[in-house]
Amino acid sequence: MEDARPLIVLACVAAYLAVCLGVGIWALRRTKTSRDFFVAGRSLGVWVTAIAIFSSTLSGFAFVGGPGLTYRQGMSSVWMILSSATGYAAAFALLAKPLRVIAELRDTLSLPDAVGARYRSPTSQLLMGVAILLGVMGYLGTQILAMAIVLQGILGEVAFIGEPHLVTCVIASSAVLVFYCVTGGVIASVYTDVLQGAMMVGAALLIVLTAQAAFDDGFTGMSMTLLADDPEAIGPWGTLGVLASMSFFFLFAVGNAGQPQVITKLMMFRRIADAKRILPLTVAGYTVAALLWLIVGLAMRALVLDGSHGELPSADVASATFLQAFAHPLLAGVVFAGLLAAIMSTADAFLNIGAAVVVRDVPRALFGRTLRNELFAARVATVAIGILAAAFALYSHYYNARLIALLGVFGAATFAAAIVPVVVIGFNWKRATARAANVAMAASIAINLGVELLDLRLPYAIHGGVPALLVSLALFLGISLASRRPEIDPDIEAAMDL
Amino acid sequence: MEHPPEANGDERAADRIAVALLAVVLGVAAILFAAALLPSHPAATGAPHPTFETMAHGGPGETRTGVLLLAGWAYGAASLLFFALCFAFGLRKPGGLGPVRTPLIAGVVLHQLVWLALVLAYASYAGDPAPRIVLGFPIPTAVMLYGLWPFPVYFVLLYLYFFDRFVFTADDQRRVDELVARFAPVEAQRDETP
Repeated sequence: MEDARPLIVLACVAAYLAVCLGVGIWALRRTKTSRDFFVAGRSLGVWVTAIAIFSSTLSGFAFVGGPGLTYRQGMSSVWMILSSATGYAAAFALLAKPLRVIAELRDTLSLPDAVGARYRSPTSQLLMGVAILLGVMGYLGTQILAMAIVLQGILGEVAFIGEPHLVTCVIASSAVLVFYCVTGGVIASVYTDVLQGAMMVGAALLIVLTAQAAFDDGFTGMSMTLLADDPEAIGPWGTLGVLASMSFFFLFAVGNAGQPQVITKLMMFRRIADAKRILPLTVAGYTVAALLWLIVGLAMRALVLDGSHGELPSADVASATFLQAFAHPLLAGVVFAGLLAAIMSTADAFLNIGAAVVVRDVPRALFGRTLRNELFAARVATVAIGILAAAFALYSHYYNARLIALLGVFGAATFAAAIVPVVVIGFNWKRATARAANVAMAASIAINLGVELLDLRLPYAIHGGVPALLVSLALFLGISLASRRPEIDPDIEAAMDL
Repeated sequence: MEHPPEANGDERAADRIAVALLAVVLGVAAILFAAALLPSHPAATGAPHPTFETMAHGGPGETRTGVLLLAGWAYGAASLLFFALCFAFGLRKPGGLGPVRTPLIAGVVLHQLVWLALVLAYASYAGDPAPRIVLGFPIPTAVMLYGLWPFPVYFVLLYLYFFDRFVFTADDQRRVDELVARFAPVEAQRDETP
């Protein structure tokens, strides 16, 4: 069985990719209008929506970067996942009703579309579109690069294939991703998310059991090893300390409520009443899948400390090393496929959101109308964004390694700082003005760009996204409170009164 | 000349929540600014591990954390308050929070108590030469993983329980249907594309 490990892993991954292609072909027949392409005809069921929401939140970072951070810093980064249930609860309480009703009343197909309707402002729609598009390019680039690196690692282990060139892997993995996103739009995206989410939950549960079995005394044995080496690492704040941990908690809980791939799905489910079932399922799925972040990182750190495994070449290989050294080959295969699933479920959501900005929000904001054949334009835009993001990922990898990381971090922080005040609060507060929204969005883009370009380091390792979030929230609330109460269209006002 | 719309009682209540959110945001900024002025321990954000290059090491918890624990507690408490206010903002309807008000306040207080318990557990853990393990983890980490992490389930259950009773009732659904019948067709027709 051990000898066949690379082939088993490859077979699992190939089967998964084949299913994704199949879903793309199946969804093609169900995608007849741009409404189908961008919001699945607002007809998604409870389970599909719930799984699509949590699986598009958990990217490849949860499978690779997260366990790597836990391996390096102990418990510090766990605050990023610990905060998410709070973020989901807030997002549902604040947005499930108004956003879904506005989507129906105004036929909005994207978040900037809804922002334009809420604030009666093409400028707000354009700024939200720009903030989202900048973030999408960074996120998508990092996901495509991660997908290619994972594929390269898997193929490289198979003796008769050998390690392919990274460019080949970028082309192959992007081709599958773009194919099902072009054919089936968001319908293919959410139905592949169902498979991807189920794989992530199953993989996480099995990995937790495997990790517990790797120590004589289970998690107590693991904790004792970590405790003997460094009590701070296994303490609640990890090695980074209390303020860094709290900044993760604040930014990621608030940020989770402001992720466009999450909020957009609140416009897609069938009935508003479904929200009450979607929320608990989302929280449960996310929490189980996120166990991987916590357990693999801690287990690998303890296994290196107690001499069961040599030191890792880098913290980022903690997950892969654990799977290769301690997991059953079939489980390793499922988890590697789950890793690709986590990456692709986030990437497909961003591809769809980016296409909506290009074919719908920008033309509407600039020219007051949408394109003539929006569905065709959306498919062309999806291909173009996919190619651009893949080229951008390769350029960054070979010529400017900081570029892609910069845009990735910029994207996450900007989503939180731009979307939370303007959408999460603004859709519940009639006093919020378009001017406040525009200033908050512009400030969030400028501050996050400044922090990243100047490589500013905040005291006590506080996350760089915190200042932009605080400033944009303060500006949005302060300017709105200091302004005269704005006029709101009667249908929007009625939706906000519900 | 066009006059700005007058605020009714409900809108003034929403404004008060917005003022509270602004106060919390400014409070968080003040906490972080004050913490930045404190003298920093060399290992405040960890140090390289003495044996393994790919790991960081926390060092002496009691001395490196010190008064920062107070700032951390205040930051965490403010964050929880921020989420509670957001939750209240979202659940509020014309006429207020209705039956959600009391269980929501109770949940916020309990959430703050769990957070305080975690901070206090850490305070005694940091200087303890032989910390106890509970449910597989040191006590403050166990409070974090088994107390604080699942706590939002309380708010999820609150949402679930009050959804049909208050958050979105059958009357609300009827109002949505009326709104859709009255407003939706015009926009839908305008944007429909082949």
